[in-house]
Amino acid sequence: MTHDQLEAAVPIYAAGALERVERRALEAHLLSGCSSCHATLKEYQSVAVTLPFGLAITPPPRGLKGKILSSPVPTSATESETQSPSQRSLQPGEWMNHLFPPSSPPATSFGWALGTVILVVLIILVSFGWNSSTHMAEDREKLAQLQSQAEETSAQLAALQQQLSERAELLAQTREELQRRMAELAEVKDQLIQREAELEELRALLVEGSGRSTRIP
Amino acid sequence: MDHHVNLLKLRAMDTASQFAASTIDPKLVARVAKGEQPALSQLYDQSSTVLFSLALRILGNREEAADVLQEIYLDVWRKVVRYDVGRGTPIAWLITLTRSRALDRLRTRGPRTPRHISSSIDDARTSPFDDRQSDPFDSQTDQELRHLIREAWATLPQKQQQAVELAYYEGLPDTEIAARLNQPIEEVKTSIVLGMAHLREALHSSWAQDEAV
Repeated sequence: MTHDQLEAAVPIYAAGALERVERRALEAHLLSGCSSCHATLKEYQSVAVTLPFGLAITPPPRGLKGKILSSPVPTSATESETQSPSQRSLQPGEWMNHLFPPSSPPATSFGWALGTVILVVLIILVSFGWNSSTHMAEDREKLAQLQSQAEETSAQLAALQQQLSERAELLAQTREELQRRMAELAEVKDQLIQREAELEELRALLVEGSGRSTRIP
Repeated sequence: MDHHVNLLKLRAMDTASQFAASTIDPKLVARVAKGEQPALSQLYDQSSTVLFSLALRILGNREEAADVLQEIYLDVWRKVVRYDVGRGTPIAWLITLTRSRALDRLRTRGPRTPRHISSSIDDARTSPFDDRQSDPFDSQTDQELRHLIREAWATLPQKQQQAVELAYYEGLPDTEIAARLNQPIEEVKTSIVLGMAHLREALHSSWAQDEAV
């Protein structure tokens, strides 16, 4: 099937009417990463989930809510009660932030290093002013030492900055990769759901078939 | 267009939107999964009417539709199924779950018997049913969405309505729809494509407004 044929089948797929062979071809095409078909599918899936809003409104039976709410408390509830406050506040999607270290600590380290350099320079200046009249030669020597230390620290800082930017770039790439994988995973989940439905259908057909065969003398 | 602008204004002012099925907060689903009963209660209030209407449309039986709903809410609560923000809005996820479970039940009933094809959406338009009185949680936002989809649906030719209904509410593949409607398969495919495209066009304005808000 060509891309145009596959894209034309997207609305039928979203409505749930695509035959197995065509459905598999489209799913394989979607898995290959066709972004335009992905975008089209998202829109048509949004249409499909809006259809029930057009149905005649029928509220559920009165007792249903009570029946559901009076069901035993899930064990996970008690587990979550014992979780730390930081875990309790975790919201959907937030877990992704915990996969990677936040970028602020390196920035803080950089701040500390910068502060140290400024402090060193200040010490140099103060000591220079303090001993200017008496120990000029001695101080010059010390000053030279301190200056060289400051230069070393600056060089280390530059190296650190370089490393930080490299790590930030790497993190961004990894995040992008992860998001892509997540999207693929979601597609695979959809496929699994579809396959399960197919299996059920096949089982039903098998049951039907075996029923018929037993009736044949 | 004026109607859509008015819808946008009303939506912005809708104080009851916190009860809308179409605007369920993903955080609410997360709280349900953590076992918070008030969150489950709110999720039920916001979503049960549209989910029950869907399950009832597919199964045609109140008890079975109620069973499907009970199963779904408890599965969400017990984390048998998990919501992922990457998979769309909470109501889209719940609707997909409900449709899938209800169709599974329909299939396990045995051989399909052709049912009377009724244009249920159209029926709803002409029904004397008073939406506001029947469901205290039916918010302004959901009512606008209902109005939009019903209006778009009503303009579809009957052929397109039938093909989309048999696909979506009965889970029939195009070949079976063609046999049921006694039409060539290509005609059925075209009907579904045109019908869905028309609905997408109609909903596009609503999506654009949502993004703007």
